[in-house]
Amino acid sequence: MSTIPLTERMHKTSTALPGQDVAWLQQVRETALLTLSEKGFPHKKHEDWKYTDIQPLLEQEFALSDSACIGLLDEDIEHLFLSLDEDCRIVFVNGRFAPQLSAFNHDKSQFEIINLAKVIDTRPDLLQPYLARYANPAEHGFNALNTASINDGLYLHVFKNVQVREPIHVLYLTTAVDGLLVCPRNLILLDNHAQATVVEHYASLSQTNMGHVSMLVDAVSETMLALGAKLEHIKIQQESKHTSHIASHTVLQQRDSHFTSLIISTGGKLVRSDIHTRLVEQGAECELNGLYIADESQHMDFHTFIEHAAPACTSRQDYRGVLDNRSRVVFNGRVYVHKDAQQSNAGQSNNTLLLSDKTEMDSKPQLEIYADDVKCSHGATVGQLDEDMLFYLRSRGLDPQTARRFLIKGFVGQVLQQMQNSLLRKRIEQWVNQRLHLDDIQQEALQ
Amino acid sequence: MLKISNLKVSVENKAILKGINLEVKAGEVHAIMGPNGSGKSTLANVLAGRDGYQRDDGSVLYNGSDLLTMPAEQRAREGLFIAFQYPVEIPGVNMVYFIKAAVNAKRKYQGLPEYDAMDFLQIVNEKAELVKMDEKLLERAVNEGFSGGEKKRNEIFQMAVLEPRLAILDETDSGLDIDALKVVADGVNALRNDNNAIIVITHYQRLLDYIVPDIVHVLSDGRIVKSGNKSLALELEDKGYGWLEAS
Repeated sequence: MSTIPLTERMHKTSTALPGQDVAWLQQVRETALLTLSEKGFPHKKHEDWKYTDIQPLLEQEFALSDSACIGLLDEDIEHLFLSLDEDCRIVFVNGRFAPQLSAFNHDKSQFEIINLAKVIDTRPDLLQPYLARYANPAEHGFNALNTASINDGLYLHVFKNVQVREPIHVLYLTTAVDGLLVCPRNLILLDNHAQATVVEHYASLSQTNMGHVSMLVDAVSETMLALGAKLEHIKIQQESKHTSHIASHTVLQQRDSHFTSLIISTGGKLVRSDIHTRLVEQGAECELNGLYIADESQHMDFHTFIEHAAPACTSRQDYRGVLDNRSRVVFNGRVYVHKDAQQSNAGQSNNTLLLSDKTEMDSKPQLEIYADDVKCSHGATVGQLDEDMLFYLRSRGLDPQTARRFLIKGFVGQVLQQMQNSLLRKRIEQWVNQRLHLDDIQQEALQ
Repeated sequence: MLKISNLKVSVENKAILKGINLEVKAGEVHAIMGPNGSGKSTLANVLAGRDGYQRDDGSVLYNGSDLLTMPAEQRAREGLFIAFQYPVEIPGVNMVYFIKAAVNAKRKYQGLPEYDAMDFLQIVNEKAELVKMDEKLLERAVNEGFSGGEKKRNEIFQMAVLEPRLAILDETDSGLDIDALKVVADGVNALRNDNNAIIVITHYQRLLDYIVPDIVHVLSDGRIVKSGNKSLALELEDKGYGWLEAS
């Protein structure tokens, strides 16, 4: 086990972390470090990690980057922009804030966006009520590792009654550095009736000819949605297949707030994405959607956990994806309805297309209901393309390959079309279609 | 245009078609009637090219070529069109996008230039008008959430856009009320000309009041047991199919 060496390394690097003089923050880090040394990293005997073996990952050495990455220009990363004139983009390279690549042209009266390290240095009191209050380091070792090494990430605060129209782009880039550990830490706060779209985007530069390089991204995001706030959170995870990506997102939802999450995973070697929403006041709603596209020997594991802790809350889940070659995907969707959460309404669906007979999909719904007046449903399908649909398309003149592409595109499109912003949707569809090698079929007739 | 000779087809080793002979010429409308289980849908599916049907004997020539060895998409590009009895719903695949790809696949095969967006838009509007298809349906996914009548109308709409040389309507009338039936029939009649042919497969006579056939065939137990003019359909309506099976 490399648990001990890793935590020892943490002690060594901790002198470089921001806010050494902030007592409460040091306390948070030390507690997390202690949790990590005591509990270690999860292994396959843990029910939640049954299908995902992280042992090979633990046998490698990872460390936080201690140098800023300079010399990158806008044009090097332009292909990852949501549009060429992004209003607001915050960029991190190998875990460190890259001001020269970021853009803050938004209306400053609407929201405040700063890199977390700067907030820690200048106004740590802003963070104290929220940071590490939602995500629980005891949940698993990666969460503890991130918390023990809180250094940089996103701080976003959207002010009361403000509706931010343009998406806020948070871009985490990695360059090929063997043994690189990146621990993004994101805090998103929406005041009463605030609305925003945040795109949390993970990508790698120089995908090819990297030889034997291995990297680990260990991200933790925390979100607080106040009364009537509305957040659309899109996570795009398209890192290289040399990168392992383990992330968790904890969301606290107050009365009548609305949270939409869409996690699009197309990259990475071993990917684990947890999302935990707590509906703590009545009328809160969440939609957790996911799209996974895996091939070769990619392994992806998605855990959702929705806590209905107050009456009359609604949750919806639509996770779907396409698996090819020897890839393996896990979906574990847990819904927990507390005793007093009457009139809860929870729906969950998970659908997977298998393009090869060597893939494996494990789909596990978990409904725990302790209230009696609730409406809960779940359904899962795993299968090949529908023969009747293929035949129908062919009978109208489409060749089998085009017919297959239509069906795959239609299948993934059903989750993508839920995005409200049409420009953003088209941009993301482009990436997804490229990933599925569908970009050569005609675009112009697409609505 | 179509010449079916002694066609014998089985499904999972069970003989369904037991020697069909049928010749359809350009400009003709044929009706094939028959009771449930007589082989009507099998015939339609075999002509469409659906998997799961074994040809035991006989041949089908379409404009002089062996139809049964052509893949389904080639049949479509050669001008064959089947209006299905139960059109499948295809979530996520946009109607306009699909129809455009289908039309252009056919035009490309025929060596014609593909339609551009403006030409295509005009054709779609014209044909939607012809079959009185609600244009809102065109913005949706193929057949998804369509009513039974809307699905049938969509088949005729696709037929109108694709302009087939040979169209086979497989029980297009089933499940339609009389108003919808008239609209579908008007659409089909508007597409009739001297160069194309239509085969109407139906259980009931009533569709044939609106799409008047030149020749009516009665299919029973995998064979065509009687052929005649349109009065044969009326006779069947009066006497039922039992009359034929007994004779």
